[in-house]
Amino acid sequence: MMLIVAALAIFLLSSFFSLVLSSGYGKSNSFNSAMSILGAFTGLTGAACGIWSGGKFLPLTHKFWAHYLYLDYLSHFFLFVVFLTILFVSVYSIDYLKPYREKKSLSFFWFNFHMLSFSMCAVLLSKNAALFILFWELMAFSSYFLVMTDHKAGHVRHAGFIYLCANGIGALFLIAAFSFISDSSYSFVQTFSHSSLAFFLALAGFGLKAGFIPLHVWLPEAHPAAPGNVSALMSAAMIKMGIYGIFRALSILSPWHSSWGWTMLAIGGLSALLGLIMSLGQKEIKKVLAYSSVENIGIIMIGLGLAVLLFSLKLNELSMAAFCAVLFHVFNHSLFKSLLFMGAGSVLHAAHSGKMDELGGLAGKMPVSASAFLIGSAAAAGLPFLNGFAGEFVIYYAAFSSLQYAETSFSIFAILFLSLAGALGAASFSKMFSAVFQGRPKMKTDRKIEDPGFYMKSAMIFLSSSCLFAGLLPYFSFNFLFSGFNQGFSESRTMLDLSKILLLMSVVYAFSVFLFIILYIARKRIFSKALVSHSVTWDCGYSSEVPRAQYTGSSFSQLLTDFFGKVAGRPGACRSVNGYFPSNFSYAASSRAFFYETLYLPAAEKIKAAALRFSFIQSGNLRLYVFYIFIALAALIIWKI
Amino acid sequence: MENLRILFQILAMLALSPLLFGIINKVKAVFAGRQGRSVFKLYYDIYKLLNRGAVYSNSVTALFKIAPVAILSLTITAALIVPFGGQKGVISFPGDFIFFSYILAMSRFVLILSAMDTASSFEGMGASREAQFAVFSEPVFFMAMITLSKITGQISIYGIFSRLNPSLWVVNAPVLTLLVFSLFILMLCEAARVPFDDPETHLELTMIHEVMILDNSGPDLAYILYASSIKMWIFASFISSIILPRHSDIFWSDCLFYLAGIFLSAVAVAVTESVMARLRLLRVPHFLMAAFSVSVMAFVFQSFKG
Repeated sequence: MMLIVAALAIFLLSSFFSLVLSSGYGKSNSFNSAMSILGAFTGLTGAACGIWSGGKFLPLTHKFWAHYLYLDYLSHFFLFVVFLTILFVSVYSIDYLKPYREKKSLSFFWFNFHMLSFSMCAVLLSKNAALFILFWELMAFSSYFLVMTDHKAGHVRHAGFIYLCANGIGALFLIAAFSFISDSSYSFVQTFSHSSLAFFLALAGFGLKAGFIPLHVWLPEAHPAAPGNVSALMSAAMIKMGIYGIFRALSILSPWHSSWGWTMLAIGGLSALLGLIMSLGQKEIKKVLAYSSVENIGIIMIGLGLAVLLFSLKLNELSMAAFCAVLFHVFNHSLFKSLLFMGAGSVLHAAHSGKMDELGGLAGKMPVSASAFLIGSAAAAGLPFLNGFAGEFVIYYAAFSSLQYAETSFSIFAILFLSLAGALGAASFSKMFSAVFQGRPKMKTDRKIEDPGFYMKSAMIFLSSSCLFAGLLPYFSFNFLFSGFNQGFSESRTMLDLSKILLLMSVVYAFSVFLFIILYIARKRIFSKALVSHSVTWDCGYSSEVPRAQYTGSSFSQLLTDFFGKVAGRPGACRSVNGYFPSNFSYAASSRAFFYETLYLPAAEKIKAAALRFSFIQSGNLRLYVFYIFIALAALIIWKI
Repeated sequence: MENLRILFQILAMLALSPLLFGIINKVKAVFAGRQGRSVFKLYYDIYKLLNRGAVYSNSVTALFKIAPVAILSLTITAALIVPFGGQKGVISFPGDFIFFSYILAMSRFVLILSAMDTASSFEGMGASREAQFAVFSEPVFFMAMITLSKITGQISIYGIFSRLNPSLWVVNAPVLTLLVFSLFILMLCEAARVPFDDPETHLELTMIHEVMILDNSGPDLAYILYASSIKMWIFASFISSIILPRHSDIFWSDCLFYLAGIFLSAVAVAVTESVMARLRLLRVPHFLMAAFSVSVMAFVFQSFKG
């Protein structure tokens, strides 16, 4: 615990430094990153101890602390994820921010970066509604300024505005929810007997941060606008604060209703499927990644819904398993999503473009980034051998195990959502990887494209090896993370079964790798005797290769986007081909933000129109405003009497 | 004895799986009134290819070169989970069919990426189609598994198939028939047969599976051909385990029934291919959704029975 407090102090201190010493150390990347790494490492150690002991290893049991701070397993788990992400992102930032240094002073950036780190941890610790909202808002504003780093571009300001609106509305919901779950000293206790209202308000408020459908609109706007390291931090750690909040609301509120579970299951399924369907139509790497975050939050919500529903049927062990699966996926997602955003950042760094239809063939030029991105993509598609699969497997396991009990039809929905999401995820990520890294470059460029600098590379290498390690040996990460989850559950049969299965899975992986090596050696021996040559790709004898004739990302996903219609993309505008030798032909297709365009934009227009009708109230006349104040005061006095 | 049986099971699968395509071709030839190629044609092909060198495209990366090895090893790994004639699979644990399905998804992912590595538009088309079919075929498998697990109360493949016995057929005949039908369609899709894909076609534009391996040659091609025959074997053995469930404790008779089931499904594939043409590409998702509906129907029948 001391270590976590020390980490918070380091973050606060370095944000202070970066602002005060803005002409000296404050703007230095290496100084700020070093401080951030130091803080994250200190905190990581503390959080790891906390997870292991299930939040019981606490020298700080003084009443004062216990009254204001949550020091339980849940807080430590999320702190672990947050510190881990900050650690890798800080290493990555050293090189990533270099090009920015010539353009502007980075002291304000670093101030916000440290502030975001600080406020995320502080949110996880606060046991007091007022403190929680304070740090929550601090988190919102510091991340807003980070998103606005390139504020000179118009689209960045637009994205920033949407993000600000989402934050504001979310905070309103939260304040409303907290009025039901805090007492007169703002401590978290349920003070209102109708728990469902409080829960749904909290779900909406936290959902705006977590970004599930239909509250996800800010994600695909803010991520492409923000610098790569900021998107990594936001997507891997910050949106998880929303999930933490939902967990917290569940732990405060009782009794639970099965309608909560059904709602979360429906939201989760919708987010997982629509998130991927919309990602298929996107043309920019970071937008695809943002929609993939929506999908993963969806998977997490499916797990949460399943856990609540299983609990309502008194299947406690399976419900605990589903809760573990959710947390496991939170951890795994933070690893592979920060890796993917870092990969996208290196591509932007090198090629100065994130448009998939313009890129291609980068694997040969930037092998490290390509391998890291490949590992991240396979993990994000939930494929075995990587860590994305393990969490999903545990959700599947809980769902399938519950099938033998009565009234578990919800499990069927969970399974079908997950299986569809798995196949769609594979399609979406194979499209992105192949469009960016494989084949031949689709546009000519004079720029020399190469792997990024040492620190960026090492952050990606570390993260991809953690993804591989956690994927190949899920047993270890699972047991490390959940041995302190709940005393009763840790010794239960379900937990033992799960650890056994995860261990067996590693054995199968080992066998598969062994088989791979044997088959590889066999082929090598054949090749040592036979002739191996290189030639052009088979092209039906058509001799001139045109890179533009390749299948692009858009053409790869066209079958699926056409099938899913308007949600996935806008149908292409096509000029028809006439005659035997057509000369003019054009085809244009564009992606779209379905919910933003069809739901939020019209709604915003309507609200604006309605608001304009009342604009006479805001006349700009100072005397009139004083009059309003007078009326308000008078009304208050009358009301009090 | 147990270990010997397991060894026998692996060896039989590895040795006999290329025979499936031979049988299919022979039956198709008989239907068309031709003599047809030898049943052992695929064995000759694989042997021939294993003694050749390879030609690689200039635009490929290391991924393309290791892909065939990865695909074959993943497919064999998946095959080890599937039980053989009522015997326990080599690997068996609760939830193993989830793992099984994702191992195959991994091999599909590798195949798609290896196709995209060649920078060829043909292969891109094939990869795109393969990715699309997977989206619609995955839920079919899971829905079938949900129903089977509901009938038997088990959540491992071995558990499910050891509970299936002839007496279960008496009670659940409509459910199991529907399941066999949807799994048969799934097999046609996964093994790239008519009506999803025509392995006989020679126009790159209309191929799906074949076009993705256009640039593979020599041992690489041999590995992939072998892997797809094993994949066919896996799905056929699902069907065989349902239509001819374990009926006795005598190992050899169980094996015989199991193999008979597998070869019977190969014959059924051949008959299907002889009597119908392939579907238009845009119709394929509809057909897979029909298969999905059939497995949902099986589930509904199952729930209303008891």
